[in-house]
Amino acid sequence: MSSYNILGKRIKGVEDPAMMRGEAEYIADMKLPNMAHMAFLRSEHAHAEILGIDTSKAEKMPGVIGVYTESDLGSMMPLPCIWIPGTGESHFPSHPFGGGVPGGSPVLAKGKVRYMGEPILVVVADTAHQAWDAIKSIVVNYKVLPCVVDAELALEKGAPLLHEEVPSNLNAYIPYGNKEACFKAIEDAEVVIKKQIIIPRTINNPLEPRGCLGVYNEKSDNYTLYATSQSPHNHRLLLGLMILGIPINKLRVVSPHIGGSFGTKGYIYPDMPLSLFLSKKIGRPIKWIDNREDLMRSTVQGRDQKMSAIIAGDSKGKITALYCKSFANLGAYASTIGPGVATAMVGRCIAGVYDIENIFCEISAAFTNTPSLGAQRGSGRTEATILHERMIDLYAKKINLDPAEVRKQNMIQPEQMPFDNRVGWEYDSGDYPNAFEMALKAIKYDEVAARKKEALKRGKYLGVGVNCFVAISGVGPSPQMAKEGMLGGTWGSANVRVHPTGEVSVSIGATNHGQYHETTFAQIVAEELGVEIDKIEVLHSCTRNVPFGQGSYGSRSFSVEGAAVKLASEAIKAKAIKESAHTFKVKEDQIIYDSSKGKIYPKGHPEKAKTLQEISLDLWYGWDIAKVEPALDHTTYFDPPGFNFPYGSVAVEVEIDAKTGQVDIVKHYGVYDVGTIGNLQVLEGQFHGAMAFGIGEALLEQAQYGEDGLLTTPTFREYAIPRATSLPEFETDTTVTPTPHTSLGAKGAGEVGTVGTVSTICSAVTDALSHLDIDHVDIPFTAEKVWRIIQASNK
Amino acid sequence: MSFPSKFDYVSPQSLEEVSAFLYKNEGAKILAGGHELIPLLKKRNVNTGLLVDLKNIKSLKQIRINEEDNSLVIGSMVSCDDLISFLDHEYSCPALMQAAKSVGDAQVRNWTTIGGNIASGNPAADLAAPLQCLDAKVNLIGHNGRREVNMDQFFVGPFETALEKDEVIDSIHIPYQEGTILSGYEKIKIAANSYPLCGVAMLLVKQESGKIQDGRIAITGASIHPRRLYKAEALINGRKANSKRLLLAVLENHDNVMYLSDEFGSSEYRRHMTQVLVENLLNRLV
Amino acid sequence: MVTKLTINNKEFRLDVEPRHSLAHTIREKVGLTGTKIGCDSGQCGSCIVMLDGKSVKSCMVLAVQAHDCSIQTVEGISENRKLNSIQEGLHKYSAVQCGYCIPGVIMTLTDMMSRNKQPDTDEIRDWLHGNFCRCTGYQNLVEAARYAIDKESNSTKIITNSKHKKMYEERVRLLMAGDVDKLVEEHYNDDAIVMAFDFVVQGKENLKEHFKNFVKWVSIKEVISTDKFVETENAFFYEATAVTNYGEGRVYDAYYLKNGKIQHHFTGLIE
Repeated sequence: MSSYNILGKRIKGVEDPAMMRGEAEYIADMKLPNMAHMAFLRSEHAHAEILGIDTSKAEKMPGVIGVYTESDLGSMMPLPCIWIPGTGESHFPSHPFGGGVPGGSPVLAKGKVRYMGEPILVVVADTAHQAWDAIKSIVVNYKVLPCVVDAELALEKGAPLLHEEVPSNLNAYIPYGNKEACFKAIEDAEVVIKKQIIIPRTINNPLEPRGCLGVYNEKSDNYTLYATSQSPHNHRLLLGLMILGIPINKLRVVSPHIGGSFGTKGYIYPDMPLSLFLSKKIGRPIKWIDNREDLMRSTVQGRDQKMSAIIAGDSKGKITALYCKSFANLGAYASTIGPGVATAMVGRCIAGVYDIENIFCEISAAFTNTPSLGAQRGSGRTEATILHERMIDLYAKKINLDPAEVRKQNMIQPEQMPFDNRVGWEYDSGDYPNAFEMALKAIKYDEVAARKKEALKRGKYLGVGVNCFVAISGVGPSPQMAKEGMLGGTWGSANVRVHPTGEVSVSIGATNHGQYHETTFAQIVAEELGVEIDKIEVLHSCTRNVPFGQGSYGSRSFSVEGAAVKLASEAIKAKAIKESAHTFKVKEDQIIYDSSKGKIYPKGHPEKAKTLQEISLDLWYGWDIAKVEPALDHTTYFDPPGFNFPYGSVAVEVEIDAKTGQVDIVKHYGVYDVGTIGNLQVLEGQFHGAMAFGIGEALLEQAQYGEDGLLTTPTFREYAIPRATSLPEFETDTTVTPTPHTSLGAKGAGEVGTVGTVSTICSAVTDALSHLDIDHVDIPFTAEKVWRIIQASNK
Repeated sequence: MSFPSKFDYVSPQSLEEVSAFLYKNEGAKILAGGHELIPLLKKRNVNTGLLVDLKNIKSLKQIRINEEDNSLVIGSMVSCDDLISFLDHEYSCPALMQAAKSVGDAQVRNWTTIGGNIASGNPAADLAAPLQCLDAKVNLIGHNGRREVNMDQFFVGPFETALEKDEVIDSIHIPYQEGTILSGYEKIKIAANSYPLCGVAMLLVKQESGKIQDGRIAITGASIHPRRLYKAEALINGRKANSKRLLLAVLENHDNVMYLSDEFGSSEYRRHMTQVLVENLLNRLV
Repeated sequence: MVTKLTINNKEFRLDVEPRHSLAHTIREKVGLTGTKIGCDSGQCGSCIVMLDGKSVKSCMVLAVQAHDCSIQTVEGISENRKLNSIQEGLHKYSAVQCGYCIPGVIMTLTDMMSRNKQPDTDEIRDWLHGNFCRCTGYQNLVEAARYAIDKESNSTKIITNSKHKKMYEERVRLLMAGDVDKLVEEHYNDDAIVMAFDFVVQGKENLKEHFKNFVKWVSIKEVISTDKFVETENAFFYEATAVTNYGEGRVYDAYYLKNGKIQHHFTGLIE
């Protein structure tokens, strides 16, 4: 498969021992001398005017240092949004920074709250208990306003208005593809099918709640923020430049160990600037740790698209057009990159792995009285995959063809690569039909009918789904991201430093929160330079340790930041070869660098071999070296020329209990192609986790809001996530088609498991119910929902 | 973080002291395992000035067979896990065992107590259903002394029990039952929290003829409180057990059960699932 | 309220408020932050510790409830920071990922393995029902548990800090140092017998002579404990790999004790 020695191998995670011993330091574990604690008072209503706040009792309570509302924030600016959906119209509240930067949310509510859970004030006290006691003593006088929690309803005339500066709650309207051609193709088609597909709100719920610790040092006039941040450099930039208005070299942002994120911790939240600002104000470090209920009410949430789709084709299985009109629920405020997640990541992905001549997608993102929308593992691509795979199933059913045949007939062939998907992406590489065949084989697709019969005898409806997906990853090529409206670069960066004693320090722009970066990035360096893994340290997640870094999101870490590490390692190798040529007094092309042994020698003379450490020592002394700079150290900035497109195929078999409606997944297979593999053990762990995420979304999870805008699922007692007892044993396979865009060849890997899983479960469940003439059910497939469908069709 | 408001704490050595604390302190709460109470305190849905912990009363942790009448006596502080061990080795009672094993998760079973499971009045207490089927009696001690309440009289409303504010559960007594006894418990789990969306316990005392001499059915989770289905039971007594009439009686709700509707399930679903579980149990037991 | 907690075999007297949870107390008052708080409401399992030998969710226990109790946290499950079989399994399968649920998972598996020696996959999953994990899909956690179960059932149980294990370690140390007088004086009864296939030696002075001859011929460079160590109240047995001037060899020793000292000692090579 590959000729790598170390890359791709199941090397044990160097991160593990500290975490398994309970020694790894997470934000909640941090303690500084004289530290104070902060707690938030959050809105109890989804939409209300704040008429008055009585903090008099709180201010006198033991340990309370201060109670702070928006009027105490001085010149602090609101949180900005930095992703303006780029190819259509968009409307935001303004931001005082100017320069076209859109406004996100206020740090603390000003006169009005727009979602349940919005922060209104903070209390700072000596202990967390005291801060909480004070919060509970504060009375807020509200005038409750009408609210709207549905994106489509929010855009209707007369809907409650959230922002005065944003007419009719429309954040953005973005079209993708060719409207006229698509509509014409639909008009001309033999077969046309329409369907509405609703993808509900979900809550990421990483196990570790968010938190931060803000420290102002008066002597040096420096700030340090320890925070659960997926993107310390970007957060420093936004905090320094656009919120606090302080020079960013005066601010250091550090992420300690992060207990999972799945998208939520890539965003700027009010606690971050507040802890820094108030630390300066009171002269003490300030710590804040969220609780689960507040997390569920105030961190960014996922999905929430209301899609109406049309698929058109001939009667023999050729798809001629796909159209989608979607309402995206952005929440009350534009989160840091929420608007882009809700639009481009869906709209440009609806073609999937298919060669569809005419595609058009239009997305309207609306403000509603719910917490802000953000990324959730597989964001956008999961919704888009549900759309195209569901529509293909419906189309196949209508023309009475096997859905697998329809998929094969319309699938992009390997020789068509690179492929323009007609809604904005250029697929880099891949063999989609191969993955699909592997999945069909794994699920024994030919024998499904017999299994259905057998299951029915046991009172079970058996169904099978085999789906395909492609999931854009590797954010990104900065110029392309600029076209999509991203305010900021998205390149990768790396520094590789070979110490004169032979150890290697590698700084990466990615931020580890469970992906084993310290292991997998070391494998890249070890492969390239022939240095033992245990001599390589990987530095990350700190604005001081790492020159620059764009952080981890959208499955970019290994594919983009890893590519930069590979380039920096290659540069180190080239410099070592140059230096060796000088030492051995031969031409550079006469130097052999044996990466498998870490030896460098003149051709034909392995006995003269030097190690990288010896070369590094020579370069360290600099007494007699080649015409190069001293020291073996290299920094690379790398902007990939294009996105990468991991893909795969998923096969799921479900059994539905005819009496209870309970859906059980009895087989769950996925074959994934993520290009060059960093570490197969780690990769499989990513697949499993992402597949579990998809199962949660398909079967259990939904953030439910009442008509009053109140979240009715605010704790784990109501919001179900998958448990060990409710998941199947996953089977996974990999194929390797490197991306041509980088020398590493890796594609994104962290989200693919989710993207393919949800739609495939949809296919399997509808297949199981197909004898009842059911063609579509919206997720999640809770037992009662499925039972109702069975009941209705029995009547 | 979220923290309870401040309270005082005592851990007396005797039930009489417990009762005295409860009598003298308005709003005092009893602490057993705490799995029901502590989350409410943390959310400040319940606030109290005094917690009275039962942990130091050794007798409450005992579980024994009374030699006089062969009844089983379970102290209110017996943990689910200890109950399971006991049922595993010394006393066979499938319905109670299956219910105990289905409670929460391993850690909850280790720490939660039989007394706590029913004393909170949680409409979805797993153990309540088998205990009602077993005609168990709850032994209470209060300011005015000791009294006994039948399990089927113990629950009076959602989170409301027969306990007076100064009363505490000493033990639960399960009378000895002669004859061939078949019993079981089944539940539909709420995915989020493992409580029963609906749970059904069934106990059948069979005659040699195969007819049911005494059939008992109790439900939990499905209604505003755990309860027996006496009218449905009456339809199977003296009959062969595979009674369609029973299923129909449950479905047609002869017992006038007020089925709950909430975020976890509608009353209609709960009603049908109750019938499904009754059917499953009949198939399994007979 | 002053509350006495024995945590990882160390006693603490702590001043806590009745409303402080055990999780909060262990983390904030004792400073053992390996125990995590994920939901603080008894659901997610990040805060699981062993309390008097059973796993509990420490966010649902008040510190005052645990007064006089013995608690084991993730920091206390292995000796000298050596990974135990559960940790080895997690490591082997890269099942740690973000690590936040892991201390709780380790404690659950610790409880599981103390009760049921051979749980099957369904039982393992049932044990993990109260441990939420958002990273692994639980699959590699289950693999790790299987690894630990296999390892524990294939090797004699490792006793990490028993009195006898310490005695064994001390014996090996004295023998390697050549301090045979101290070895015999401290560890053997006056009429102790050392036996092998081809010799019997009895009495302290004879034993000293025997061991002096032994260390003259055999210089021990290293003793690798094989983890095969079993003990009862008055006997213990171990197998070890010894590296000597004759190379590497496998040896066994069996001891019967009287009054805390060795009375009978059988020894030999494992072929």
